Amino acid sequence: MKSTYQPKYPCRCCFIPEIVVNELKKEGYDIEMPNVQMDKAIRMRRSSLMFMNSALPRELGTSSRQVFDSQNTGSTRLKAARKEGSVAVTDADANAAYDNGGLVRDYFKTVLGWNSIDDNGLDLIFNVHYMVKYNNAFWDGEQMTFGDGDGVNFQNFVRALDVTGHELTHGVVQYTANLEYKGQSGALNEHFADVFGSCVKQWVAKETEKTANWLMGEICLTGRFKGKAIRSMKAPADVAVVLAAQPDHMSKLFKGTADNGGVHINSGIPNRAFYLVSMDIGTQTAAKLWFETLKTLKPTSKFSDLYKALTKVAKKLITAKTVPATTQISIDKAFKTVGILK
Amino acid sequence: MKINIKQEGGFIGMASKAKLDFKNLTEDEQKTLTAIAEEAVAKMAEKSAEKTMERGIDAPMDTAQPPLLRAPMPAARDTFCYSLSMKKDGKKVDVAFDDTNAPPELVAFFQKYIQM
Repeated sequence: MKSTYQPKYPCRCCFIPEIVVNELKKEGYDIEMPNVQMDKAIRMRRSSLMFMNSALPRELGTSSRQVFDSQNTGSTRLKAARKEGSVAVTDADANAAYDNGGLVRDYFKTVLGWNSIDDNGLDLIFNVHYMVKYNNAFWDGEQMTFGDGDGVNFQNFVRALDVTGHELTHGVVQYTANLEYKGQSGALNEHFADVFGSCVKQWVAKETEKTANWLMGEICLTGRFKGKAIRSMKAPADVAVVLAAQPDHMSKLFKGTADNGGVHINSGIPNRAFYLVSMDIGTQTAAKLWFETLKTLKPTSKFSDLYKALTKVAKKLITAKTVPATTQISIDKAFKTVGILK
Repeated sequence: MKINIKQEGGFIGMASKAKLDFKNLTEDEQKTLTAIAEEAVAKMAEKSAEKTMERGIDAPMDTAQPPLLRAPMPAARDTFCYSLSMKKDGKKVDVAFDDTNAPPELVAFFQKYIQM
């Protein structure tokens, strides 16, 4: 029997019932229990997530931070390392998660008027020291998890404020437009995560659009690569600056199936549009425009929908004098430059 | 037996792949991959049996779907996707995981053999 399966988006899996696993174990198959336990935990957490996402009224949370140490295992919420209001601990990475998480939370509340991830004070959960030499940080639908990096190529994921801002924004997107994580909607999901990751970094460093470097994750690189940062919103395609070039114009749109249809690849196009608009109206003004627009998008929105939505929202914000009267001109110019607007 | 592995996604968004020879892997690695392959084959057989029940015994065997093993977190973002392709008892097995459902030993396996 030869499988003819050709994965369109490779991460598609389903759950093996515990009863089947037990039967297979009886037959001598070596299936590790932690996987079963992990599935149980996932299902339980998913149930609570479905509940949280429902229209039922929820009690207002306190957006408290909780940091856990994965102790270089694949487990999350393993050992409590620091919680809201507690003093700094000896683990600098736990402190970095706590401090950066607080800054991102404060940015969303102070600048964008959004209370935590869900606008309802959801607690912020961080896991540090995930796996061994793990080169990544991710949002799993409920919490943020950071690896230490291998120290050879990558490092400091948890210490990079823009990375924490990026991951936490994935949570915010989940509770707003809930953009599907494939194709152009997935690239928009990544785009918004980069936008607010970059904006919080500029806000904390008191930078402006003119003084910021517009790089993402530059402190995560050890210097082994030619590029200075993982991504650049200003110059997504410049290989002298970035780890891997992203398209900066619709004519270079990636149409393959890798990376869920290029979610981390095609985000370069709207990222550059955001940079260009920011150069005209200011980063934090553009951030407000983008955030109000995010709330109006749909899960299947594409790049052209982002343009249309920005135009609608800009009209309201111009009337309210939240953004300059010239904002629509700036949007049109930027979206023409990157080829989204013909 | 040749094994093709591919890792993509993550915050970094890079894709890397490698081609390995089963006989050159450590005993633990062989054990991990064998367990995954057997689980996948069992799942394929289970799925095929379900389809046969639905379609009747004379219907052609359905092999169009992948041997899916465990549920990922649907709202996960920036996780790595780990896919591997190998043969078990002459059957081609393609399996994919992400960070929310991959066995930790499989993640370690990819970390060892995938050059970023």
